[in-house]
Amino acid sequence: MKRVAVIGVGCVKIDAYPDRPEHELLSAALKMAIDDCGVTKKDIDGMLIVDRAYNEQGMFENWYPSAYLKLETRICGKLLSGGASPGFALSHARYALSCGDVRVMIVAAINRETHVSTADHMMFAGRTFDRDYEVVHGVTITGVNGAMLTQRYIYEHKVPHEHIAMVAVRNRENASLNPLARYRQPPLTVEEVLASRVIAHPIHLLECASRDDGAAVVILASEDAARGFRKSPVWIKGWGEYHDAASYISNDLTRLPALGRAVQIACQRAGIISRDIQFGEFYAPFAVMEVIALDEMGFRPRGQGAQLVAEGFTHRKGKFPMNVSGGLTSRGHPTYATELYNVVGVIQQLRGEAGELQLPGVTIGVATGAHSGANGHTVHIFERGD
Amino acid sequence: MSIRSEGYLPRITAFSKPFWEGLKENLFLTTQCQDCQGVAFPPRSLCPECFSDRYAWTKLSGQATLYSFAKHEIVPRAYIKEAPYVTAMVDLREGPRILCRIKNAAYEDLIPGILLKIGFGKLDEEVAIFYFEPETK
Repeated sequence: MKRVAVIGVGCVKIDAYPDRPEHELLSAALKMAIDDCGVTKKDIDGMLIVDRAYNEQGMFENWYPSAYLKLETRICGKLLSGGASPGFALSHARYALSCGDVRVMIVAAINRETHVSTADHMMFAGRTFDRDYEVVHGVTITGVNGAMLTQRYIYEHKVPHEHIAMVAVRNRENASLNPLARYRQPPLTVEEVLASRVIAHPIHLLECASRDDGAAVVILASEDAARGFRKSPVWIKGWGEYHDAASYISNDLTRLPALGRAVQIACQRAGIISRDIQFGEFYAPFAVMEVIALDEMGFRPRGQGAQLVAEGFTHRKGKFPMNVSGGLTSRGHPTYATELYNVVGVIQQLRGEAGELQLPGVTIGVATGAHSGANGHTVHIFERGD
Repeated sequence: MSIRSEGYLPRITAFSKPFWEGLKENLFLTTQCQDCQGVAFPPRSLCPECFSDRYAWTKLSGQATLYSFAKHEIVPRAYIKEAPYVTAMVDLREGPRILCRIKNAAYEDLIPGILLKIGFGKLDEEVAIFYFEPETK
């Protein structure tokens, strides 16, 4: 099995692009990724696409993008698994590259949703839950994955809500230095986060990810094709995914068990332990999920994630910088592309291209994605070096 | 429960009809596996514990414990007239942890662990629905 590297990345600034169709966003991100590495069109022999169901252009899985780009490939298709779609696509691309089926592949994720109103979006997104037995009660993703989770975490671990809110404060501080982030101003305080509009008690607007558009492209190459481009390759050192048998129902709301398992699997493949990972970009659409992700990383006994945030452990000057690119609550959350933005954030750090957000001397980082009720997680560990 | 004019009525099937008909008679039914005796909710024609398809309908007690909850201010279009409302994750006495609406309780009075009992209402003229409320109001 050949090793696989990221050789190029590109993405548009996360924003609202109601008037920019899918293929225009794809073209912009692809051009940036191609310019980033200097790959030529004839080098590319595979493409995997992620987009979301709101696309106005049909057949965006293979026919339309490949025809639009006039790109002949050995592998082309769309992979969808909610917010874990990009990780899912990366996994399949990595597999095809490591087997030698292809040599250079594009993984592209496009998320357009701001042309759909929030009330209508919630009608669609709410169907994450059981259409007949749960949706009829009026449950929502924010209500369950955000509010009920925060409610139970605070109750069980007796943590102050202020500590959870600090996630959003730190994310905003990071996003203010990231040109790709949508929400860079104003700086936030804990008091402002907890005084923002309630979406579903007990959580507030600023504890939630927003609804955003975006497009990102990652270009991957197998070991024998990865060198000689503009940038040094960044290797996929470990990968793992795990899928719980439930979307929170019968699950422990204070945990993200699939994340813990996926990290463990990825670390085993990488031949490291989780503490060897120096920083991470985590898929956490609600502030409390970053807290629980910290618990799952196993730095301290379960329930102390909020305390770690309060201590500055996850600050970019802390022991485990988390969501340095601004996190989903401030960098923005183009759902089906978010995990690829997480990957871009990690690659920029490992290459030393993170500008004012650059962490000194980092060599190993992790990017994650999660689907539906966060009952499934995808994890990729990246390493710079030969 | 208000009359729901648009969106999200349950799809009642030949399999699930006993559940929805039961609600109209204030009965809270689900399926129980005849091989491993597992109680599933929502009702299932294939046991999620052992994949047996031998099931029988059984009556649930309608008693539950509050696990977590949320009071919704921003809601999907179909529920705007009903907001704000409280939904919860509750543990049925028989085991399953399920999502439901909470009624007849102030959000401020709710706390995980309190005992709940089932109540019955209507989604429209044809379709009944269940909710939970505190055991002692």
